[in-house]
Order: sequence, then C-alpha cells, then structure tokens
Amino acid sequence: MDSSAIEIKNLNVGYNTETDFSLIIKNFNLSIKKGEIFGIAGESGSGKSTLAQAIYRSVKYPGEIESGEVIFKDKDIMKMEANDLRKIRATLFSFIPQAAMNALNPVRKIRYQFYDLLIAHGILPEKNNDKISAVLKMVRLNESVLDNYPHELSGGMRQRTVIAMSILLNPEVVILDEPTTGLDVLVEHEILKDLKNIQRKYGITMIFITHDLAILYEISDRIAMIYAGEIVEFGARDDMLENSTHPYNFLLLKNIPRIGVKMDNIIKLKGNPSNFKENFPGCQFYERCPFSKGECSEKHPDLREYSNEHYYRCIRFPEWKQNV
Amino acid sequence: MRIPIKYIIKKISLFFVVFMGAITVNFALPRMMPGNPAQVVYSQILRAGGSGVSPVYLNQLEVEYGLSKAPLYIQYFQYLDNLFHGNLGVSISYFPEPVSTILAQALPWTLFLVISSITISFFIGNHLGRYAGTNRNTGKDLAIDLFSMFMAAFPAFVLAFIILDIFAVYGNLFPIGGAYGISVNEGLNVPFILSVLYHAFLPALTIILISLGGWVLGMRNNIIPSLNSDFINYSENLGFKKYQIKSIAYRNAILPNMTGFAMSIGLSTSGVIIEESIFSYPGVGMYMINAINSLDYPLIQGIFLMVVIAVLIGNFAVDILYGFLDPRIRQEGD
Repeated sequence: MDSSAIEIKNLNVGYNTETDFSLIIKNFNLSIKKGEIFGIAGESGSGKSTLAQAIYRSVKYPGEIESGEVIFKDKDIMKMEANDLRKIRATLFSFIPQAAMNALNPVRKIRYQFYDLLIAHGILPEKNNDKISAVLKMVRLNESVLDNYPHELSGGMRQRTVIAMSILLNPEVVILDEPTTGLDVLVEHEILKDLKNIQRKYGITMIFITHDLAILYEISDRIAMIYAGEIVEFGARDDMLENSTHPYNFLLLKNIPRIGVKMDNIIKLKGNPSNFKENFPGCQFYERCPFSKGECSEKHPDLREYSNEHYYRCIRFPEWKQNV
Repeated sequence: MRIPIKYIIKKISLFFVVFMGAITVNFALPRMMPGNPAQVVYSQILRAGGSGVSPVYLNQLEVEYGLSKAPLYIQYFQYLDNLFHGNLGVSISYFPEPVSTILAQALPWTLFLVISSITISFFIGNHLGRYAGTNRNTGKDLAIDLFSMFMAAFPAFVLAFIILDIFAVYGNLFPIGGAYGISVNEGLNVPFILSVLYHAFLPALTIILISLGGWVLGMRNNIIPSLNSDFINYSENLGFKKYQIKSIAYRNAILPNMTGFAMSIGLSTSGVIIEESIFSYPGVGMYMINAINSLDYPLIQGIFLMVVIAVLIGNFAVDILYGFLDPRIRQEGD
C-alpha cells in the first residue's frame, strides 16, 4: 500500500439532467503509484475530464460525485472538510487545468497572482521571491513575465506560468487535464519534455489526461484507456503498446496516421462515439467493435488480468486477435 | 504604475473631435429651424406686453444669438468665440440674466445631488448585486432580484410624489423644496451644510432608489459568469481562500458597470429633471423644465451644451479609469 500515491475506490460520478441523474464514471477503481506518470486516455465525451475533476474533487454542478473514495495520504479526499481540502491543494495535491490559457486572472500582474497563491497558503510572499524565480526557471520562463499581465504573454508562456503556479509549493501529486490543449505541436512537445524532466527530478506523481495517443505513449509510465467512463485496458506503457488486449486500444494504435503510408488499411469504427447507454447489459464498445459477437451484447465484461499488472475488459480476447 | 500617456493623448484627441462635433450641432440646430429664435423671442416679448421694444431690439437679439446676415462660416467663428468666452446668450424667461450665470448657479446643486446619490446607489447596488450573484438561486437572491426589477421599472415621478407626500407633506419630516433653509448663511458653516444635506435627502433618496436596480442586476449578471470562469476555477483548484476568490470575481465583474456609472453621471446632469422639479430643487433640471415651458431657446441650448459636455467628460473619465482597471484595454491604446 505504501507505494501508492492515490487510491481510487468505487468512484461513481455523473451528471444531473433535467429529469434524472446519468452516471458517467461507473465503479471506477485505480491505484496510482508514487513517482510515476500515469496516463489516462479516452475520446471526447469518454469522461476523462470528469474523472480528473472527480479525483481532485472539483466537479461542479450539474456534475456530481455520487459515491466512492479517493485515498491520498491515508485520508479520503471525498470526506475531507472543505478547509482541509483547500489547504492540501497546490501544496500536496495540485491541478493543471484544461484550457490553461484562460486560467490566469486577466486584470492582475503575474507577480501578484503568485503572491496571492502564497498568501492563500499562509506564506509571506516578500520572502519567497527566490522560490518563484526558481520555479520559473524550472519551466524555462524569464523572470520578466512577473511584471506582465496574462494577455501580454503567448499561449505557451501562459501555459508555463500555470504549470509554475501549480508546482510552486512542491506538490507530491499533480493532475494534468489536457494541459497542452490549443498549443502548437512544437510548444506542446517542449512543455511536455520540461514537465517530464521536472517530474523525474522531484519525483512528482503525475496523472496525465489526454486524447492524444502520441503524447500519451511518449510521456507515460503506465496507461489506462477509457471508454464510456470505464477502463477498457490498462497496464505498463510497453505492454499496452506491444500487446494490446482490447480492440479499442488496438485499433487506435493501428490507425495512428503515419506520413507516407497510405491509409488503405484503416479499420473504421462503426457507429458514434460512446454515448453512455446506461441500461445496456453488454460491453459498451459492442456496437462499434469490428470483432464483436452476439455474446458481447449480453454480458458486461469484467476487468481481467492478462499478464503482470496488465488488465483488459473484453470477453473475446484472445480470440479476436487471431482474426487480425 | 506606468502611466499610459499615449492612451490618454489618444482619448483626449478623440474627446476633442466629438466635442467640436457636438458644439457644431448646437450651432446648426437653431439655424435649421423655420424663422429664427430672435423673432420668436421678439414676438413673445411683444405679446407679453413688453413696451418700448422696437425692431432695433430685434436686431440686437439677432446679434446676441449670432444670427447676423453674415456668411455662415463667419457666424460659426463668432459663435465659437462667444462660446469660449463663456457667452451663451441671454435667457428669455429669466431676462436679462445671461444663460451662463443661471447655469453657474444651477449646476453645482445638480452635480452635488447627482454625483452623491449616484455614487451611493452605485456602491450599494454593486454590493447587493455581488451578494445576490454569490448566493445565486437562493431566497435572498430572489428577493434582491425582485426588488431590483421592481425599482428599475418604477416610474421616477410616481416615486418622487410618493416620497414627497409621505415624508414632506404628511410626515412633515423633511422640507418640501429648496436646496437650503432661508435662515442659514451661505458658506462653509455647519448649519448651512446640515441644511443642504437635509434638503437634498428626499431627492437623493428618490434618485438612489430609482437607479439602484440597474446596478444590482448588472452586477449580479456580471459576477455569475465571472464566478464560473476558468480563472476562478483555477484559483479554487490552487486552494485560494474564499475572500480572495470573491475579490477576483468582483474585480472582473465590475468593469462593465464602471461604464454605466460615468455615463449616468454625465446624463444625469439633465436626467434628474423630474426629481428636481418635483422637489423644487434649484438644479439644472428645474431650470430645464421652466425653459421648455417658456420656450426659452438660449437656456435650452445652453443646457443642451452643458449636458453634452458632461456626458463627454463622464465618458472620458471612464475611458481613462478603465485603462487603469483593465490592462487589456490600455494595451489597445498603446
């Protein structure tokens, strides 16, 4: 147990609609090890952002965490007092948001936004200018950004500023919810490289959420693939890459476009992206899966272990793999 | 803080252009009317039994209005000359008082009344709006919203009559008119100041109540999206304290209301006409009503000019202020 940084147990998260409550994350269990980069991937609407917010307990109405536990440092985040939760945020457990471009207060200089963060956690800002300089250096920003307003910075610089703020107080665990959305590939690549360096240097545990498989496989130690709010496959990066056990992961990897290679062999997915059919008894991926058979629509598959710490949720494995 | 000189110069030049446009309209309007104001005034004085007026006086009046037979551009420069010397002509209804003297008497009262009551209303309104917005969809929010909508839709003159009736006529708690009592000496002394405040109370109360709703609803509707913005979510995720989060949201939500504030101060130099005349408060509004009733062209024109200038100054002030409040605007000016 000591090696796990975060334990997610039976997490259920959903959204309130006008008439009822629809469950998005169903009975989610996951254990994240200390000092790893854990990648969570899924398509739009698969519930990955909801999951990120739920782990951080920042789901806002109409979203709602129905039940479950997130154990961090022997405490359940879901049951913490609001003020205790506030205190561990940014200091022990931090969050780098999606659309980090707009995450800074537009009418305040960056310096004072750093100061505000320090004040919020009871630290005197004047004595900690060194700390701010150090963290800016880490994300390779010039100190002059402190005297700028957010709109005077480029997207990449704002992104780096947000990362610097999130790790200023040396958190042990950081959740990154698609932190490079909206940046061009080059900037994205540099930021990820820096993040990885920081992570290795300080042994931060990172939970990295993305829809970009290339990034995911580049940066993560372990990966969980999410479809319709549940894990369909998870394991170490190399296992996931070389021995896919679930058709979803397999097809996604197979269909990554490569320059100069004709796209003739693409196996198209049928149907529409996951739409959370709640009362469907079978596999959520059934309709879109090219390998599905009648039995797939009848029984909901459990998570099974393939090899050491490599799990999949498919009743037709390894049969289906013989057909490709 | 770095002073954005370029931004201010840009705003001043723009202000000057609009100002020139406005006084040009003011010059053109009387000349576009059939007949001319001088003839109207002349015939009015005749009808009123003004004995001893002769066609010579008509000529004098025409000169007074700058309505000479001279070419238009010469008239225009004469008009500008008069204007910059503070010569706005002579009032008809308060003959032979110059318009500038009347305005100089009335304007301080109006500015005092308007600026103090709009400022109070702005302050209370924004705080009520913030309270309602941060307690969204609760009973308190609903009560504040209903009250605001009711007050914003309530006719000013009805409210003025009700307040006058209750507090001055029947209640006998406040004076029914005037700006200060007869028994006090004008000047900076305590009884005079108290008397001024006492007399201004009811008209100010009316203006505050009437204008309050707009600020409340404006603030409430600004702070709700502000509270749901990405930067507020991020502040929460970084464990900011409640008061810090509220102040960030408030600071971003107040920006649109600032424009409204300066605009209404400018507009209200004429906009409190109803309140001033009902409470017989000797401000610009009261003179405006009298001027309209007695077709006092020079005075109407003078007040029009003053309102234009007040609105322009109000806008100018808010432009400059906005530059300080919102750095994004300032950069566009740089």
